[in-house]
Amino acid sequence: MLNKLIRSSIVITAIYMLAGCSDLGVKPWERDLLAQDEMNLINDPIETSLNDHVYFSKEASSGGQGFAGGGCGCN
Amino acid sequence: MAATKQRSPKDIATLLATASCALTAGISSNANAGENWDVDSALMVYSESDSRVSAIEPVLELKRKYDSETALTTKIVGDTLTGASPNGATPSDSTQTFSSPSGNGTYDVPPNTTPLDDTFRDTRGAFSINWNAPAGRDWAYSIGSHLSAEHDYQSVGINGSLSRYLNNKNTTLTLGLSASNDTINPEGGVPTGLSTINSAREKSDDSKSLTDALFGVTQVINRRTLMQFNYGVSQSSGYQTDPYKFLSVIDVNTGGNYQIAGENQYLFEKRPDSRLKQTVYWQTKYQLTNNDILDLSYRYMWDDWGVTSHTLETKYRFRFDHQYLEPQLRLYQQSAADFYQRYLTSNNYLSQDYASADYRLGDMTTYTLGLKYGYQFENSSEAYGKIALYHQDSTGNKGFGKLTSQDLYPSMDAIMVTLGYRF
Amino acid sequence: MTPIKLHIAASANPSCHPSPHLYKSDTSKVVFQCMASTCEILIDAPQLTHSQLTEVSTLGVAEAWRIEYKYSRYVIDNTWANLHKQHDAEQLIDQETQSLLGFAYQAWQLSDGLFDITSGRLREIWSLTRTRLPKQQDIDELMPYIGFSNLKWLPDTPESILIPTGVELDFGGIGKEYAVDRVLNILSEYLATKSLRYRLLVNFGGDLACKQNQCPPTPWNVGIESLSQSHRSDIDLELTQGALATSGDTKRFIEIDGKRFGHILNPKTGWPIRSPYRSVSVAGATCVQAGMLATLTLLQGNQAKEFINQTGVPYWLRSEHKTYTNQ
Repeated sequence: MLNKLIRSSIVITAIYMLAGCSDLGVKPWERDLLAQDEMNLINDPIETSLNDHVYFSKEASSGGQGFAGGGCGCN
Repeated sequence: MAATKQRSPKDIATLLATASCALTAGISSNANAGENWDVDSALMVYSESDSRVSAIEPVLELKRKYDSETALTTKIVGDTLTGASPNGATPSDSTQTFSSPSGNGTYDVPPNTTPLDDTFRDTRGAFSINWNAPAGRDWAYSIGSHLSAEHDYQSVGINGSLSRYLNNKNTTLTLGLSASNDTINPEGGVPTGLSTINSAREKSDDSKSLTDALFGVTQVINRRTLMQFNYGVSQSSGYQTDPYKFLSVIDVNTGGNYQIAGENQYLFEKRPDSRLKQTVYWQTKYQLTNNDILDLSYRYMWDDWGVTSHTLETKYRFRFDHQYLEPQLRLYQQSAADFYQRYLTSNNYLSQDYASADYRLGDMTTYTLGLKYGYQFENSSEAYGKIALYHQDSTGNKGFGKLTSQDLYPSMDAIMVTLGYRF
Repeated sequence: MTPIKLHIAASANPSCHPSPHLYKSDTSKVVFQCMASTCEILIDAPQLTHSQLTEVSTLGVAEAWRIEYKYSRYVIDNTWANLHKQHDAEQLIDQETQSLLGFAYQAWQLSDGLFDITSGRLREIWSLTRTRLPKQQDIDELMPYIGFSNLKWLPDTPESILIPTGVELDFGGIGKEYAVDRVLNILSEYLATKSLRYRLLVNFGGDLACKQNQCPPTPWNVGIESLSQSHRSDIDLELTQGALATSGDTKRFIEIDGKRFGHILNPKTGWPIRSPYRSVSVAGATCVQAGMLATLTLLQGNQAKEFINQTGVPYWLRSEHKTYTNQ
C-alpha cells in the first residue's frame, strides 16, 4: 500500500514537473528583455567558435553547448 | 517610457515613410528583413609563453536574414600556426635528438628541457554554410555543411537540426545530428602505433569518422531568465592518434632514457580507434534589474577512454548606454585517459595496447581570465576587443630515479587577444 | 454628364452605403461615401474597357469599405468589436491588425508618446456637443486607461495581444490614410497589367495619394481647402506622385466661453493641444506618412512650425489669418 502510494506520488511528481513547465515562461508581450540580442544563449557566435577552437586543441573535451565538432587536426 | 531617444524631425519623417510603405504593402513593419548581408568579423591572436605556439585566426561570417527566423550563414576561417609544441618525450639530463616529422633532418633538445617539436607550422582554411528556417508555427530546422583543409588534415561534414516549440514558445526541444569524415596524411606517412620512432611508415594516410547527436531543452523561466539543458553524444571511429607525438622509454634501473645499442628509445603513441564521448551541459542567462547580464554554464563530459571533465564558465556584462564591459572566467578540470602515461619503462614498453604521453590527455586543470569591451554604434554596428589569459597546470606520476629531478609537467600560459567588428 | 450606378455586392458593402457613381470621361471619376467623407477615385487609363473600368472601380470601393467596416467603432461584430470583447485575456490578431499596431507603435515611439492609439477614449470627455469645460477629476479618472504601454503587446511578437479592461484602440487616427494608400496600391497594380499608360488619384475627403506610369508625368491639380466657411480651396498645387494629407480643427472643434478647443488631444495631459495653428497639410511619400506627420505637427502645439520645417517635407501650416509654407 505504502509502496503503491510512493509510486503513484512519483508518477504524480513526474507529471507535475512536466506540467510545471507550463507555469514557467512568459506571455508574448513579456519577451522584451529576452528579445535583446544580448540575451541569446550564444550572443556572439564568432567569439564562441574561436574559444571552442582553442579549447578543443588544448584540452580533451569538446562540445556540450553545440556539437563536439572536429574538422581540425589540432587534436 | 515611450521613446528611448529623441529623434530629429527629419529622421521621424524618413522613418515614418519606411514604416508606412511596409504597412500599406501588407508587410509587418517590424519584420527586420534586410536586403543586405550582416557581416561579423574578428581576428584572434593566440600566443603561448616561452615562444611555444602562436596563432593568428581571422574569421568572417556573412549572414543574410530573410526574416527574424530565416537566415543563410556562411563562414570563412583562416588559421596560421607557428611555434613549438611538446612532442611527448620527457626531459632528460642529456641532449636528446629527434628526427623531424617529415623524416628529413633532426632537431636537438638540450638537457633538462621539455622536448618541443619546433617544426610545428600549419595553415588551415575552413568554410561552412548553414541555412535555418521555420517550418510552420511550431517547428524550425537547420541544415549545414563544412569543409576544412590544412596540409596534413582534411575534413568534410554535414549537420542538421530540428526544433519544436512548445508552451507558447517558452520551451524549445532541439535534436541535432552531425557527421563528418576526416582524412589525416601526416608528413612522412602514418607511423605504426608504439613502434620505435625510426620505424618505416606503413601508409601515407588514414581517416576517421565522427557522428554527433545533441538533444537540448531550452526553457524560458521568466522575463529575465533563460535556461538550457543539453545532452550530447559523440562517436568517433578510425585514426585518433597524434602522428607527431612520442613516449620516452625510461630505464627502470636509473630513471634515465632507456637505450638500445646506444640509442634512446622513443615510441610513437597509439590511441584506441574508437571513442565515445558524452556531455551534459547546463546554461543560464539572467538579466538583472539594472540590465546587466549574467551568463553561467556548466559542462560535464565523460568518455570511454576514462576522461572526465568539469567546465564552469561565467560572464558578467556590465551594460552602459552604448558600451559594455564583460569580465569572463572559465575553470576547467579533467582526469587522465586510462592509457595516458607520461613515459613507458624498459619493463612495460613492449606490453602496451595503447599509450600516449600527450599532456592534453593527462590530469589537468586550466583557467581563463578574460575581459571584453564593446562599443555599440547608433547604426547597430558593434566593435569589441577582448583580452584573455589562459593557464594550464598538469599533474601526474613524478617518475623515479633521475627522472624525479625533471619537470615532467610544465605549466603553460597563453594570451588571447580578439578584435571584432560587426555591421 | 450622367453617372453610372456601380452595383456592388451586398457582401462587399457591409455598412450599406449608397451605390457609388461612376462618371465616365477621359479621366473617369468614381464617387462614393466612406469614413464620413465623400471619396473619389480618378482614373485616367485609355486602354481600359468599360467592364475593366467597372471592375477596377468596384475593387477600390470594396477595399475602402472593407477597411472602414473592419475597424469601425460602431459595429457589433467586426474585428474592432471582437478585439474589445475579451478584456484582460490574451488573444490572437490578424496580420493586417498586427501591421497597423506595429505602425502605431512606431509612431508612438517616434513621437515620444504624443501619438497614441489608445487615446480615443478621451473623446468621451471632449465630445463635440460639449458646452462647458470638463472637470479635471473626470479627466484624471480616465487617464490610467490612456497610453500604449497599457497594451500587452510587443512588436517582436505581434500576433498576440492582451487589452486590459478600460483600454480601447482607436484606428481612426490612421484608418483613412491607410485606406487611401491601400486603394491606390490595389488599383495601380490592376492598372499596370491592363493599361500601358495610367494616372490614378485617390482622394478621401482631402487626404489623397496619386500614382502614374506616364513619362513625362502629367501632374494632378490639387487644392487645399481654406479655413473659411466656404471650404473653397485657396491653395492650388500640382502633384505628380505621392500623397497629401491634412490635419486640423477646421470642422471639428468646440468653443467654450469664447475659447476654441480643437480635437487634437494630448494623450499625456488629457487636454486638447492649445496652439495658434489651425490646420496643416503635408506632402509625403504615402498618405499614411503624410497624415502622421500632419498629426504630429499639430501635436507639437506652439512648436508646430519648427517641427514641420525641420522635417524637410513640403507643408502648408495655417493659423487663423496666415499660412506658412516652405514651398
